[in-house]
Amino acid sequence: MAKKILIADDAASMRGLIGMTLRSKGYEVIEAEDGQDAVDKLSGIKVDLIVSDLNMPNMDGIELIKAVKANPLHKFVPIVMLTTESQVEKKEEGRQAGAKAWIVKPFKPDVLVDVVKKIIG
Amino acid sequence: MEKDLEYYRRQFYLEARELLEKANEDLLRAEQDPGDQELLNSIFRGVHTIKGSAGGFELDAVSAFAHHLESLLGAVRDGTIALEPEVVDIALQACDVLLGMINAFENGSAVAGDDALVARIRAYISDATAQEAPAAAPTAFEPVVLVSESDSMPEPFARDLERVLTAGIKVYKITTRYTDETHENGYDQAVFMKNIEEACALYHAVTDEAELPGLAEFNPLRLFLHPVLYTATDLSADEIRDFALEPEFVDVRELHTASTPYAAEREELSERIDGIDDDILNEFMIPAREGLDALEGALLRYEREGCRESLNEMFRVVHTIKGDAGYLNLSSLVRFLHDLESLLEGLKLNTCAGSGRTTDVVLRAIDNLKNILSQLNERNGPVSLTEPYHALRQHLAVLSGQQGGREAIEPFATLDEETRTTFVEQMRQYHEILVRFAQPLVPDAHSRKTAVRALEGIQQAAKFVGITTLTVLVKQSMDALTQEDPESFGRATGEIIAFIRGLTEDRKRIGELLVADGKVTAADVEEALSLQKNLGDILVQSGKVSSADVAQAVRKQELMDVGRQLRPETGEKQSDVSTMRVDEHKIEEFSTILGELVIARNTYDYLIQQAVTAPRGDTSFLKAFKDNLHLLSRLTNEMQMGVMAMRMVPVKGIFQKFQRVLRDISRKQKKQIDMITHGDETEVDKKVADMLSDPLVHLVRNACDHGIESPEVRRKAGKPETGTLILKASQEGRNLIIKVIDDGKGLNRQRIYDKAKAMGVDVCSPDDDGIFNLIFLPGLSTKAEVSDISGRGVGMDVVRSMVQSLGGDVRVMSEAGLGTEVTLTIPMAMGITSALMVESLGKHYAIPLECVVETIKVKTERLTRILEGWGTFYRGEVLPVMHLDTMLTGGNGTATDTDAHDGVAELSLAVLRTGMGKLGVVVDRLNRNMEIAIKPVPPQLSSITSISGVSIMGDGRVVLVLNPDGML
Repeated sequence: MAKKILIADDAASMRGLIGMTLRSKGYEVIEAEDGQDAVDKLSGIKVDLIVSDLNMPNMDGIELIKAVKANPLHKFVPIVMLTTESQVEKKEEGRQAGAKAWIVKPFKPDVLVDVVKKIIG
Repeated sequence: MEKDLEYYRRQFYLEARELLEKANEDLLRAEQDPGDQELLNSIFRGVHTIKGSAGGFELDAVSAFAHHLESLLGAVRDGTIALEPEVVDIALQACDVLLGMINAFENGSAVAGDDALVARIRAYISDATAQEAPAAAPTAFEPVVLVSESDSMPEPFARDLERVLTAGIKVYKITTRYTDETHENGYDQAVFMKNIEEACALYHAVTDEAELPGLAEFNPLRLFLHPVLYTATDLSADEIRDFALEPEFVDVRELHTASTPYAAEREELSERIDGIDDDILNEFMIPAREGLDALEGALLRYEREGCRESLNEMFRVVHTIKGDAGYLNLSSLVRFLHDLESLLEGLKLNTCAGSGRTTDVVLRAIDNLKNILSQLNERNGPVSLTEPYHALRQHLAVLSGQQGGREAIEPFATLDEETRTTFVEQMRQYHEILVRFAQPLVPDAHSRKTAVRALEGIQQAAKFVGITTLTVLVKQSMDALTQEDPESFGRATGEIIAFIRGLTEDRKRIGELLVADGKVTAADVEEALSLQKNLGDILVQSGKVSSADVAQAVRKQELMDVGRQLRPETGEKQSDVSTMRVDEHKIEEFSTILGELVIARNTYDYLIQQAVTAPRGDTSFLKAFKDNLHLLSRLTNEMQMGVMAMRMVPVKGIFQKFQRVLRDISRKQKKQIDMITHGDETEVDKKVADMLSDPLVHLVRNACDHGIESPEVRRKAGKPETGTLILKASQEGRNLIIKVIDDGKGLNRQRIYDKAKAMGVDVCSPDDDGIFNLIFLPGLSTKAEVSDISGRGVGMDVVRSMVQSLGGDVRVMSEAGLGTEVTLTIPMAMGITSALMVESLGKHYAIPLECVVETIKVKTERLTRILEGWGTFYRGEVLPVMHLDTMLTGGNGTATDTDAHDGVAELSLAVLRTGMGKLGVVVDRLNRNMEIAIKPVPPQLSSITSISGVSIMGDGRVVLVLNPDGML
């Protein structure tokens, strides 16, 4: 059974790359262009994992985490941050909001797959 | 998959180019306004994003290079480096290099980063910060940090631990004792962690991220994180210690003494739906799905409100589905549902504590069920229920305090494979260090120490796995180092590097070309090493080739490159696909219009039917035809406008590029030049814009290089020291006019004249205004010495041919001492135009509507003779009047023949806008306006300037499109 992963990234190429990587491992992928789009797309469906960028227009990654955690339907969905941001404070902020893992770009596709597998199998 | 990757990669190229363009612009702006922190952030972020994305697309070279630039920009952002012109130079240059690399990758060739530039960047950073350069390539570390509480275990993990503890698996707390020292010596903590993770059923690392330093302080030789691991496994503590290679590196503590492991076999559970027909299956599926949705709702309601009714509803739903499944003999599903029911029953009887936790479990079970149902519906053979079933059982066991199943632990891979991976990983890291610090050996103490450490690390690791070649080589190079023998040191480390590369990388083409035999001298190695940077992996295969072999291989490679270039393009030419971004809304509008078009088309079908069946003489359907035609023409108009609008881009994009060109020149030649742009918003067809870019670069360079003088000269000439370059874009009629104006020294008539004469061109006199147009002749440059910017006399020639290929023209005006003005006249867009149709001597002509001011009727007696021609008063000015037929049939076109007016009381006049003012053209008849598609004049007729194109009418007639400018 395919697990569903929602990815939020404003760079179409990144979205494509992440999506492709995860799809090739048998996951079902939903793509969102930013935090707001992610929240919209999350309404009415359940996903197993969210992979999100940090810097995005409309709603950034941290706000997205908060929005997800505030929704009873999604509050257990683990969130992986995949971002170029590596500042300790930012990470701490993400952690407190409820991010499960933090991958710093540039990432290797198999690292992402490893982390995802570790979290949702 | 590969194709997809390629697609996204191309998308990345596009994004990267945009980001670089933006960075370029921002850099220039930041130079003007160094205090703008947001600007600096934005530049940094742009490069940051490129670095991040490039790594993802395996463009490691781009990523690595961007990393250096990023470090520089980071330092600028943080204020450790001031944004002085030198830094802007370097950054701009680096942006160019990046752009070049990206373009090269897109064209399928690989370009290495500019090492000299990297060195400059590094020098800058280390000078300014007195810190060591950031660690190796960014790909060397990819910090994946599991975020977690450092004081207590996170709740889900604690829960999982509880679960496995009840299942009888041992839980350990492993405290790592790796230090910087052990790390340097090749004992990699990350590898240990990875191995533990793979060998354990549950794995959790708790790290203190506060230990992580900023990016700039990252150092591959230091260990920043000291994680505490919590694992659940059936390994013994000693076995865990074995993973660490040295037992004292880890402290392993068992958290609970476990009872004997529960060794229940995991029962395989699967379901299939053979022999059930679609109708019956649907009767089951649809209510089941609805039921699950209801279940989800009820569950959440129960969690929120705790009301008993919701619980009952959940129970009912599951029970119903179970009953239905039983009816269809889906026995495995029944078992799954049965367990779910038990779980809910537990809730009902209040035996399950912690409803939040249970909600989680049930939600997951619902998801699993939905998945199973949809897979069953696809009828693709048996669907496995094993995972969800056991997961549910486990939770059930934990929640109800009974003994449940446990996950089978995968036997970890053989030690040999593990060791190999570890070893290769370590070697890869040492390789980075060696390449950076030992090749060539940098004499300062720090680099030396680093190199020695790396060598020691290699030594240790090599001993461990028993690769004697390496231990011998390391010994050689260490000896050479103590004996201060750089030559043998270089050779030995070179061989080590080559050896490691052989371990870690695939063979590259050049490596294959080399035949691995023969011994080398030190000099050969030197040569090979110096070549190595550019040619990749000459030494991959052996590191033992003669210089002649190297040279030959290089030659061969060059020849192959040339061969590739010469080979005619076959198949898809990927690199030539040019892309353009289009607003999604525009496309959506098109979809709407298309829908209407289809309707309009279908209406014709209907109308024709009507026309066929209409009784003779009945023309009532004609009105419907006409109405539909109007609708159709409105739609096609909209389509046409849409397509045109989509293709139009503001010239601003081209103009902006020149800020950079200007800056480069002013810095290089120590000139001060201001650029002023007018009409940035003028829009032009994207294709035209793309093609214009190069000629304009030539013109701007020429103006700055040849035109504008150095500040001293200008001061002496009484001009302001700062020169001015004006770029002006405007729309005149259907032409785009671009002017490049400088206030420099102007063109030297005499010099052009002499030069042209020397080249054998027939010139009348240096005073003729046409003399300036000679500068467009190939090979004519008046600049005595050629600068690296311009002056080879190729530029202007290229400018003219480029502009002409766009159907435009270029003219030069110049005044000695005052400046030069180059005017490019380019048709805005080839395509569809509105035109005024006129008739003269029975022939039809089209005049583009942009050129038509208005059409008037003039009484013959109001025509007055003016000099040799005729004119009339028109809105307070004198309007020259000519006959179209005489203009076209030769002569001077002047309406000299008074007889032409005889017998005609009133003349039809089209007032046209031309480059030389308004002009009244007499025609026999003014027809209506029409939308026409203009096709270019065939090349044989292109010398006829009075015609700008031809158009074909609906009835097949060919009509000439007049060009008022060319008629004079």
